[in-house]
Amino acid sequence: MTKYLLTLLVFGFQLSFGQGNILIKNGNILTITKGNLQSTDIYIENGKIAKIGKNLIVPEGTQTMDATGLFVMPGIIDAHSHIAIDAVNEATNPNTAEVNVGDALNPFDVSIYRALAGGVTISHAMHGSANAIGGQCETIKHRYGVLNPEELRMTGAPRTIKFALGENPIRVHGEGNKIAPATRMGVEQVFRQAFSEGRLYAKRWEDYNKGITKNTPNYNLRLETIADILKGDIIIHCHSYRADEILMLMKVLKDFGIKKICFQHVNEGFKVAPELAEFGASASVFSDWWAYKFEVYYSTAYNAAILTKNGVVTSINSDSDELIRHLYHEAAKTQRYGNLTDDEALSLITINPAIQLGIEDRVGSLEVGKDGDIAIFEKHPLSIYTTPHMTIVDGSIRFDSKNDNPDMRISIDPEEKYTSNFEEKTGFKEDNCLQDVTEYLLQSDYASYLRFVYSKNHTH
Amino acid sequence: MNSGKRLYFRGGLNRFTYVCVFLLFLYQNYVNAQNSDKPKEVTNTFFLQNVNVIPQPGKILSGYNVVIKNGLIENIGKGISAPYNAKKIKADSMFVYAGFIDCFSHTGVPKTESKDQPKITDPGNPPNDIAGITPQKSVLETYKSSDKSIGDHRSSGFTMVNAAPRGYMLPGQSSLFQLSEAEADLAVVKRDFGMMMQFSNSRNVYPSTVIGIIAKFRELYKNSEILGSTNEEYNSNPVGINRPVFKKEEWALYPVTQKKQPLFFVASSSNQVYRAIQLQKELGFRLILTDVKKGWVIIDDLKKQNVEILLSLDLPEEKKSSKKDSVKTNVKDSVFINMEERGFEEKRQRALEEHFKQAASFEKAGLSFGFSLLSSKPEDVLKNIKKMVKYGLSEKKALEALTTYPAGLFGVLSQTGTVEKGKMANLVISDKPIFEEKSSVKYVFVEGTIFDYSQTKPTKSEKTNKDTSAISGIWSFSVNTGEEEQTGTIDITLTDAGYKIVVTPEDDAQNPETGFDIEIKDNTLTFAITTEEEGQAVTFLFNVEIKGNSFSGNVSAKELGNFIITGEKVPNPKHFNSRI
Repeated sequence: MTKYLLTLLVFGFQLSFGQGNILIKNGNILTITKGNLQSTDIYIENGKIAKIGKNLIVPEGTQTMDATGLFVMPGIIDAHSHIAIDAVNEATNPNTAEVNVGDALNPFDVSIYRALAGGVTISHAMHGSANAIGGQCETIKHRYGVLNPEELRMTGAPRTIKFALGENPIRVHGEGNKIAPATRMGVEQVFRQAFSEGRLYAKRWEDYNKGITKNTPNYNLRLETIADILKGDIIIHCHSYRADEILMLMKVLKDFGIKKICFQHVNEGFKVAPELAEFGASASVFSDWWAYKFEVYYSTAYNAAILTKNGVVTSINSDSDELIRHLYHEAAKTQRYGNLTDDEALSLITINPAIQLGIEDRVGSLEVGKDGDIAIFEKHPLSIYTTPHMTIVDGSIRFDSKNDNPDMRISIDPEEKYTSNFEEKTGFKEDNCLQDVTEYLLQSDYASYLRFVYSKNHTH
Repeated sequence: MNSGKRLYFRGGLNRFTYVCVFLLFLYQNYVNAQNSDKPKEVTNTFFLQNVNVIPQPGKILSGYNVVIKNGLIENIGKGISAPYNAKKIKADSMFVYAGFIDCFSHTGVPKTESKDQPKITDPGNPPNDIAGITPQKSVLETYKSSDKSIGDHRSSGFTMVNAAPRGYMLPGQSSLFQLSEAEADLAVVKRDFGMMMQFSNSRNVYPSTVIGIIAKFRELYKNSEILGSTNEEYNSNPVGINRPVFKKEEWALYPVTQKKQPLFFVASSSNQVYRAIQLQKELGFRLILTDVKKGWVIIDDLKKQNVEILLSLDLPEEKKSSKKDSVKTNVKDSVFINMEERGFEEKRQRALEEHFKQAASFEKAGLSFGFSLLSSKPEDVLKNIKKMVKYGLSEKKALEALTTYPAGLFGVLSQTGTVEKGKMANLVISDKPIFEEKSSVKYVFVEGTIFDYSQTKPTKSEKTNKDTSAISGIWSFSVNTGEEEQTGTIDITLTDAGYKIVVTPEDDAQNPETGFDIEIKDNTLTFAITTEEEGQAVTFLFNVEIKGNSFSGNVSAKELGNFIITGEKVPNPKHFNSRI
């Protein structure tokens, strides 16, 4: 089957949309919400988990995967990424609530496959942080192999939108274009103005629809979106670092009666954890990434643990097409920095991000009725020695370490220059460890030995 | 001009003068035929004897004669004789097809010179024309019969074009023209037939990305619908409501919202096709997918959609094998055989074939389509059609896509699209069946006017060939931005289509940019590149003077300012990135 899948991938034919049947036999099951089950089977039917139990009887001919000795957990969810989209920032205006990265999904982005290779089955493809009010985001399923961008969408997932505080919107608009916001105060003003206008806009249409006014109002997609936030139809995901600004935004939201907010990055979240918990805000953080700009210096690796212990629904995200490959390691760091339990640590990359995206009733744990999104690991996923074994989305195998083709790009421009994954990531053609040495060695008896070593180990 | 002379000399003159003038006239025509395809209007009646007429795709009438008179096909038949005043065209045993129709391009629309645009103080709220939103514009305003592209496409057998204005997101409305030498208002056959839309942004202002363009389009579309219905309401009873505000962009889009004007949506990649289809489902306009290049991946979905499709006549170039060999001979590369690269190369080869086979796979799937010449080079057009035929497209389907399908699309099938008595004399005549590899176009008729290519030698711009050695090659460059030194290479090659320029920054070598708007005058080279940063397009204009093996000049970008650039020719270019 996997060979078949790879052939399809290689030649760009359409894979089925998903909804597969598969039996995962005899694994160590980490349900996240209902404890761990030893030597247990999971049966996925039409893309949903149909049964969990020992020695399950399933229809004859069902594809079976022997998970003896392996660890089976729900597919990892990344609440902050920018993969699989062709546009990240519509950076021309401080408020672009009307744009939606879901309009620019790109199923050919090989980053989707690399995320699958780290057990990640769902990511939150987000607008960037150039604008105080950025665009709407899209929760996608990593169905790598589909050709229609629509088939990446997790249909039915709630709408989300990107907000941004601090240096980024100030730099882009204040410093770049000499318009507001040029200060942190200005950023607040963008929100207040947008919400006030959005409220008036909604009122204008309401009056028109009720027949109170006769002139048809202008249609404004930006204010339409803001009005939907005010109605509670859209979850805000806000790029943030400093505690004072986090408190500021919560105050603004309170003033306008908005409740759904997840703070992203939130490096100083540990300072205002009780306040976040009281508001009902959630937090999506890095395990230990900081100091890449001035406002991100005051940080700690204990952030996730402190937030968790204060009752804030917390997740660990990647915001990177590289970090997304090893979110399980990122989660494990909270055991070193904060002594979180296995379930607490794994919740940071499963059920908690699911809650933040409003999809916890469908994914994030292994329960009958939930989607068949599974990550299977060789060792316990929080062990530093573990490696991803197989990743399943809606019951379809989308990654299999035993059939991991060196080049997994689907769509290729025939006029494109060949670039290795390594070069794409580093800018270097090859790694430089053996620069100059190799040329010398090639003249010597080591040449054949080197050829052998290289073909074994360096197939990136 | 010539025909005017002829009329004046009618009658009254003695026989000798008449003959002299006539000889002079013939000479004039001879000279013209040597230099250009300018029509010779000795008479408006022409006679084709013993030709193979392809009256419609899939049929052939051998040994027929054709009479063309006064712009129309006067008669077709066996054994018809030439009218006394007919010019006999040397077309014995040649092949006569209905003139081809280019379903969509900018043919006849000159490129606008990049003038200094007014400084935008607030890029988030630009005026609509700066933002590339000008649906109210008609191509009739910019179409120029003197534009070189008209003659270029005519020489490939095209006699009609649905030409659209140039621009960004919504450049304006397209019209169907005869590819004659008449001015726009005389050449136009279908005025303001369609509306052009593309995912192309105006530089650095809103909407600057594909997500911005889609959002802006939704909003404009909804407001256009609102304006239309408010207008109707107002017309029926204005009491108590304000007069509608006729914003020109919204009003211009109204026929699209009413499906009275189709939307030619440029969608090359499969992602763009899906985005266009998604918008169509959401909003409900008549969608014509335009310049489709990677449509084969989604044929099954397209079958279900019931949309009209125009395939691109642009095809990717096959990689020169010499380049590959030079890579292979590199000792290091041959040692470190890279599985990833091998996989990539296999896919690249496969992708190349898929591009060539696109039209054939559409035919196999039972889909109808026309061709758009939006992004193809004029000199490649016939070559590419022949390649598609070589890769499995039937000649019948190819001809349909060039004649009957577009004639039906534009509603001119009763006037043209087939070779029939009484139809417009839009014809293309080739020495061999036109889709055969070695065929060439010998004559083209556009509404009865003949364009003669029987004397034309294969064109190779000798002039430009001469000075290639001076400019062609790899140049290193260095730009001082004040803060840092930007270096890299500029690779200049002369291809059949003119100069090709590739700029490779050293710190971002995997993202080379291809130059456009290339102009070379004396020693001055100007061109532009567009780079993308976080979804934002930035255009750099290069203006350098070349002196021997070095150059100097400046690079400017609207937002960033003006910088000094210097460079030198790299004596023996090597693969500078073949480092291990």
